[in-house]
Amino acid sequence: MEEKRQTNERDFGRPADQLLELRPEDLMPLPPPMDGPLPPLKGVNPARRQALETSLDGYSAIGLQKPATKEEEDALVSKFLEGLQKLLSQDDNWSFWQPLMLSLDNCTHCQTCAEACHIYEASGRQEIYRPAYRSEVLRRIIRKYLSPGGRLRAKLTGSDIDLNWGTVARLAELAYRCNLCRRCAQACPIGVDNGLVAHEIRKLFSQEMGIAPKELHELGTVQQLRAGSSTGMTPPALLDNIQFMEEDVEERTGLRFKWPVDREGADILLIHNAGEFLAWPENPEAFAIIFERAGLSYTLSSDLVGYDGVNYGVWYDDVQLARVALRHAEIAKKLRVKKIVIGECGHAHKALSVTADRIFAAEYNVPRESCLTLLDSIVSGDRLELDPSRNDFPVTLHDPCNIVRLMGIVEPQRRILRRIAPRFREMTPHGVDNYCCGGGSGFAIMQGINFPEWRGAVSGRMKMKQILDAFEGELDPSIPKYVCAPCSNCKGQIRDLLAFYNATEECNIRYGGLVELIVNAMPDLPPFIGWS
Amino acid sequence: MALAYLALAVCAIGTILRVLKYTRAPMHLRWELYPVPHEKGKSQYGGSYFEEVEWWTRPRETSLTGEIRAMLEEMLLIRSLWRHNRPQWYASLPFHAGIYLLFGFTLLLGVAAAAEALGIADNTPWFQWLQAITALVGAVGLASGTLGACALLWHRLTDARLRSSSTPIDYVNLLVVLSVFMSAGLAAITVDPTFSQLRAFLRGAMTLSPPPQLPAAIAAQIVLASAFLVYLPFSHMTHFVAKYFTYHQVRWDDAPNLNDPKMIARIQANLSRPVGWSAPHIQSSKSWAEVAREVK
Repeated sequence: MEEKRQTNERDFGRPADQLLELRPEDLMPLPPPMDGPLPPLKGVNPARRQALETSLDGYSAIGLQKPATKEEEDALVSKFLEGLQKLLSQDDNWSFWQPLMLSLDNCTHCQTCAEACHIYEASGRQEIYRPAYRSEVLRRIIRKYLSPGGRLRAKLTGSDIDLNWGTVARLAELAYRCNLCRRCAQACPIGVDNGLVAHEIRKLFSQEMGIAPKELHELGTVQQLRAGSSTGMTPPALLDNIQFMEEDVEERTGLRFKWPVDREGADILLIHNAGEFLAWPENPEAFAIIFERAGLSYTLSSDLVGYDGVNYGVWYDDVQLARVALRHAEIAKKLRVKKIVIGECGHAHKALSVTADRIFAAEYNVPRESCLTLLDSIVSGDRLELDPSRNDFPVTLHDPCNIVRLMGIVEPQRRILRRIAPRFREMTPHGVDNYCCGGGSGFAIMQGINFPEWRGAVSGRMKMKQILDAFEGELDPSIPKYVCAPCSNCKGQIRDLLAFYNATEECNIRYGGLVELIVNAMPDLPPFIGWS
Repeated sequence: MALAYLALAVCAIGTILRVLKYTRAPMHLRWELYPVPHEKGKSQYGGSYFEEVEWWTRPRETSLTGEIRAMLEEMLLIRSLWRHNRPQWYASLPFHAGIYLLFGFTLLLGVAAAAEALGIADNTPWFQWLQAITALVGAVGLASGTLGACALLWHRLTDARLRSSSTPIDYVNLLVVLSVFMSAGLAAITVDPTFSQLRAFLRGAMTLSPPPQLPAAIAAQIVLASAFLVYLPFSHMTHFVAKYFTYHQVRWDDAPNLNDPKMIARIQANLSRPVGWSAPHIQSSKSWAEVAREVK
């Protein structure tokens, strides 16, 4: 692809209406039948441009309002610098200080990370989306404003950058032009992690300035801790939903059984992403059918937070991460379960199993397990009667970054698919080398302002390409195709992508989880996956 | 000679301080990245112990061989660059190989100088072999390093994206290293093809004897090498040290919390730190353990 240069790090603090104007013709081409240009991108309308900070690329992920006065701007810039100092302090940022310093100190600017980034590639190699661009801006601000003699050194070394409200606002937005998939970190020969730097910038804005996308904070972790779920679903609403799903299972399959809720002493506490109950009830229904048939001793929780495995804190705020994770552990302890099993939700996997692992003192350290390993043991252990011919349609697998590259759970889901889906094929690349769906790190739920357009056109474009490539030769709409995405956020993003590119209508590509395919393979039940 | 002593001391102290900076860091939250090469039987495809049902009840199987192999591949062959940035690898490999070989050359030269100082060298066959090997390692190292540095410089100047994102310091770093290679090469070609004068300098440095009278080319080489040693720990070229930490203490650090008393103590130490952040949903001088129980 032809190299383009729109701007570099020096331009970041300079006044400009917009650093980048995205044009459809610049984007990475897609294979047929999506090889035509996208319609013109809408970007931001003039009224919103007046009120919102969109000077990065015309899109707003966090809905940042423009300050009313210069004094307000200056106060925010000071606050940003205070936060930056805390980010660099071992006491304030013990949680990621060492990896952050390693990444800030040692980049050699070889740009190997750029080749690995789906956003950079799909955007047509726009400079501001280079993974190292964001880190370098931060590095230069630190050097100039927080190091002795920094201003002079910045002038002498040609790495000057102005810190003003425009810089701060652009940096806040730029932290949300990265899916935190860490494919770039995997490629870096030194181990510099530009995904982590984006994560840390998000933290600075949230933990010091109270700036975060509404969907992640107010409607996310705050609502989850207060109301019980980031969906707003309260415990009574959950119980209503469960009753509805029990009836739905009976209607669809003829099976009638009671779902266990708050059963103390069960072996397993199963925690779903609560979004499943509302958007894809067939997913928890399929889990219920499988667990019931496998004879597992398990329970759901109706406690606040206990029925929603999401933990958006893992993307933007360590305090919120700790609060949600601790609540999950407390509920498991209260129910006296032997382990927590996490449903098909990638970031819930990583937050509870990996990231929060080192905040659990002994009394809260309840073992956590992925549903994928448990499902693999059920399917591979022949505990269910399954007929793969029931899934005789093309199936491909999306690897959720949080479960695969960031946790190393690669084979269990494949063993299941090889067993139950005779026309399963891999995407290229796949496994730990996969590309993010483009909805990672909260993007999939960020529906405000004009961000979904950017998500569809840019961050999800590589995944759309992979899906089309995986089904090459079978894209005719007469052939139903299934993208298996064992993660709620990925499913949400793939749903939106298929709609953005009209792929369901044009190519008959559907999406869903893994458990739906398992239940669809049960020979004594009516087909579980609906194609209409 | 004083300059060389000083440069070595600054380099050693600077490097130690950098190492201490990373080793004294508090235990961070887990942030591993797969594949993790010590995952026995699984690292080939990037798998982990999380793939096992009730993994916490099973003995953790790790492979030191796998980890060592991955380390060597990365250190000696820069495997990640080979996989992800081939054009850069063609320049970077000879550059780094040159550095490694020159490091080896310096050690061999030091052994020879020590042997001379101890009076056990003379014209024994093994000493002649040592000299021959030293000369070969030095010549190959210099050629490889010079070629690699020139190629890296050329790549940075001609690749539009690299040029756009390069800072003056990136060029300075390359030029500093290139000047060391070239000055050493020039000295070897013009005045010291057998490295005997450089060996004499090292012998003097080891025995704290007055330095021999050196030709200007060798003196320039020593001054430039000393300047490089002083500069090294304060540049981003410290990645030769940092890489240990980025790999072993971040990317490959998948040690689970199994209530080991040492880990629990470190967790409790972290949780007892005061929270200094001041966003409205935090605003607290309480400890992390307390703040994590609040709902704001």
